[in-house]
Amino acid sequence: MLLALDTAFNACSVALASLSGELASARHVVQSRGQAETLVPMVDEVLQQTGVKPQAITRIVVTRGPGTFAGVRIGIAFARSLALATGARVLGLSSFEALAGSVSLEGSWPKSLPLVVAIPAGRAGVSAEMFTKPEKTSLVPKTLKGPEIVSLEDFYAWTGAGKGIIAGPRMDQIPEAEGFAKIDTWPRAEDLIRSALLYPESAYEDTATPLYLRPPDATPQSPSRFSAGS
Amino acid sequence: MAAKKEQIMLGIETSCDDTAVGIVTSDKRILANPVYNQFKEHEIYGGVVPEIAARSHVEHLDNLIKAALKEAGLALRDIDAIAATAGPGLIGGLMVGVVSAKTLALALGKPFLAINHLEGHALSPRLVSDIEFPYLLLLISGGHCQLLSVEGVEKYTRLGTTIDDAVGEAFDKGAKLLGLGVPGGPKLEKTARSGNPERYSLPRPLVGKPGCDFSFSGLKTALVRTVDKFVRSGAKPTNEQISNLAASYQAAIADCLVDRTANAMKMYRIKHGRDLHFVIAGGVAANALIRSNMEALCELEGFSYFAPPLWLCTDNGAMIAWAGLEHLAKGHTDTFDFPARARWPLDQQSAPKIGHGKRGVKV
Repeated sequence: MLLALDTAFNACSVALASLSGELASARHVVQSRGQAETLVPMVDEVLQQTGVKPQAITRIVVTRGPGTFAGVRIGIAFARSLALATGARVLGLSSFEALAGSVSLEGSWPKSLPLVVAIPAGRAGVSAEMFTKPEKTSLVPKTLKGPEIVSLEDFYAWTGAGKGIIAGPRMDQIPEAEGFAKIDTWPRAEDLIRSALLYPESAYEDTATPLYLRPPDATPQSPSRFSAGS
Repeated sequence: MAAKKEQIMLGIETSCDDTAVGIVTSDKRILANPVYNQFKEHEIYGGVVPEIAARSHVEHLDNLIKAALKEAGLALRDIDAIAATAGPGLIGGLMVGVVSAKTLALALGKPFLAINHLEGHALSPRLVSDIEFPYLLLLISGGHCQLLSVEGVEKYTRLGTTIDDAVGEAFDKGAKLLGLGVPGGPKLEKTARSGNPERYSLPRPLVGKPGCDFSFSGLKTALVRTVDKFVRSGAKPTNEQISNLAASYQAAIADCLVDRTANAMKMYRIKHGRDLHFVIAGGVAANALIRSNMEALCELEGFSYFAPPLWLCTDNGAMIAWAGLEHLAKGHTDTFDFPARARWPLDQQSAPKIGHGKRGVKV
């Protein structure tokens, strides 16, 4: 079985499907925090409802960020521990890959336009990655640029495109620009299942690593003003 | 009647800057107890950065569990239950440990236990000795400074606690002021060794006052003022002067600990009568001056003295596994919705637990 989960943004989202993508059960609760309390009970509930044993999970798909720091870690800690206990292989999709996959599968992406997935990065601006539409919807969107952090002022210049589509979870935080259409989209575990099917088996790894892009907010200590003379 | 099967507990500790995993049996065998210390990652910042700690925990925990299992010669399916520190501590790291433990428990179909970090320290003497309840515990570390009457599992009375800094924090801040580098505690102790503890007159906050709470911020401020005087005078302090300052500062801290603990012993004696036991735990229990002063105080007050080995005093997974075993023996387990808690007082009377998922009857 394939278990997908997302806790990187405003939700605790879980979906269980067969390896061919047939959905067995899914849960999606909107909550921007507290997933450390709700995620494991939610998976427990999904497993009990479907009668699937944890050991039957052979693949895990998880959003690995960027997103909220704590949310990203909750998802990754879960995926890593489940992989450790079951031997399941893990597909860690960045939030950009996950959302580009969703937009591509929804079919609302005109072929001629680039897609920019933009995720708020606090005071630094936005984390962004630009994709080109795949030849077929059965393929993974291809990266044109990024991912990297761009200031809001430089955002449209960074795209280098006169027009395109911007997608992401907080479109209200992205300034408007002529020629660009916005799609408000958040990760959902059900969509992750569909996105995961675009990836070959070789994309699955032993583990998954968080993608933060933003460094921790800390400054190195200044030297002590008090040190011994000779 | 068949002998009760030995239980094997895996304990996870991620409440501060040590990623730690312990595997312990109910007959007190420590099968593995690896610790990944993040010291190097925080060094240039002069203290623990919570976000860096949390990132490091999620990066290292699963490999540390693998390493612990390998060392113990066990597979995950051999583990009977999983315990994790759920608080108090840095929330980002706590969430990593708690979610990992819950996930393992779910996947293995084994019980999960949420452990209070302070309780891990409080029960740790029982892992390496036959000490019985009750005993008086002085818990001194980078994040905590408490005097607890340990009367049983889940039965703790907090006699005193710090009203500002933890004692390890006082050491770290003092070391930082004196330019001694990190880790502050051991560096300051080493520098103090050649110094004169009576050279500088520093305050002993709360000493002589009733009760057994601690305060160290006034002492730290006094050290700041002394250092400021040097800086303003333009003179570079000599190594001797720095040693004297370190020794005077350390002596003041030790005096505070002795005075407050002596008061706690008097309170404890009234309640528990004759069979009196004292335990010192936490990372600061490594300090030789504090150890010897406490041992002398015990002799004076008629308490037995016990200090667990140092590897058990600093943060480790074995003490969390052991606390888990103590709870499991009482039939306690926790549900998967148990929250990680940055603040979680141990004393049930003065600060009742809220929102916790304990099942079973409390003793």
